[in-house]
Amino acid sequence: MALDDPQARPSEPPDADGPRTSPIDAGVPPFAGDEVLPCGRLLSRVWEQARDAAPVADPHTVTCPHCREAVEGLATVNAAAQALRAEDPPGLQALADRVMNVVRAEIRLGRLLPLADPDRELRIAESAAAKVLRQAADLVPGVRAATCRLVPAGEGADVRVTMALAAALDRPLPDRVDQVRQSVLDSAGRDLGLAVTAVDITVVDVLESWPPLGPGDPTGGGT
Amino acid sequence: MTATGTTALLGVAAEAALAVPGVAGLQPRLAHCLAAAAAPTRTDTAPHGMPPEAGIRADRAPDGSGWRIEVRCVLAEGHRALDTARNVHDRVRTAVSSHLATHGVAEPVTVAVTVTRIAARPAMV
Repeated sequence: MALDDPQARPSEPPDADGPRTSPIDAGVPPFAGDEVLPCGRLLSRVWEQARDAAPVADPHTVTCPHCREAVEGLATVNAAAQALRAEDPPGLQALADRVMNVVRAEIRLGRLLPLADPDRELRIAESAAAKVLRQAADLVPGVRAATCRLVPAGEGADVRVTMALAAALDRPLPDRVDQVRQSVLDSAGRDLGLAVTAVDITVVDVLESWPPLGPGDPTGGGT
Repeated sequence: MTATGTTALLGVAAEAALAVPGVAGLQPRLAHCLAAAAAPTRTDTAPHGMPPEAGIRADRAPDGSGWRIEVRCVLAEGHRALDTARNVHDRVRTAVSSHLATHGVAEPVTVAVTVTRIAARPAMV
């Protein structure tokens, strides 16, 4: 809701525009959903004042942290709403695209996972952790990580990793998968500080071009 | 008690977080990104140009007894995420508590740190 949204304005007498220093007059919400701040003011009235009143009109609003926080919290949304109104109709598609890009970027962060510190609230986005763990898997010759998902396991900071990968068939798959699992576990502790308790690995494809043929190493890599 | 503005706290917290080795930048919060995307003068949604405070959220505790600060940070590659996040947590809490103390306010401060990205090289956020 924007500061100057006429739909949000409760009806009131014409002489009620002055500063309200008593919470009593704000005791009855003028419409459903209005919120009473801890200081007794109605959220709608505080927003109205922020829109209409001169900066020094109401000493209460200037000093009350609840009122000021309410106004500051609304400022960003208000700016966006005003920008939306100012946007020309031909620009609406571009606007929608920009907004959707922002939303997609936020979604791409994935779930938030706890880092292994029981005394502090520390988290890492799944996308950031997965990127590091995929790189750890790719360090194993003959392996390319495809997907990597992480989910909290249990109540603490434990995390479970599920990974799909493509692997070459020049060596037994169980050995190679064990190597990947160890590499992922090592990286999770060393590079991230994640308490990974399990790494579930599924080989979903065959890495055909392995070992790579090179002029000086016709047999390719492998450990 | 002197009222301490949220805006000032955001600046203090952002400065403290950015001073931690391994922090490449602060990730703007969704509300700021949406506002930037909606601004007619902007042509992209990149975080460039946003103040670092956009990566901080400061809220009063529900019972009004203290502050809760949330920091969203981008780390530089080569720094252990847990150690860096811990460092950010402790420095931000210390900085915000000190700021409140200078205003005569002794209130509990809780800090939550979220690592949103690990940049391949120091990011220009």
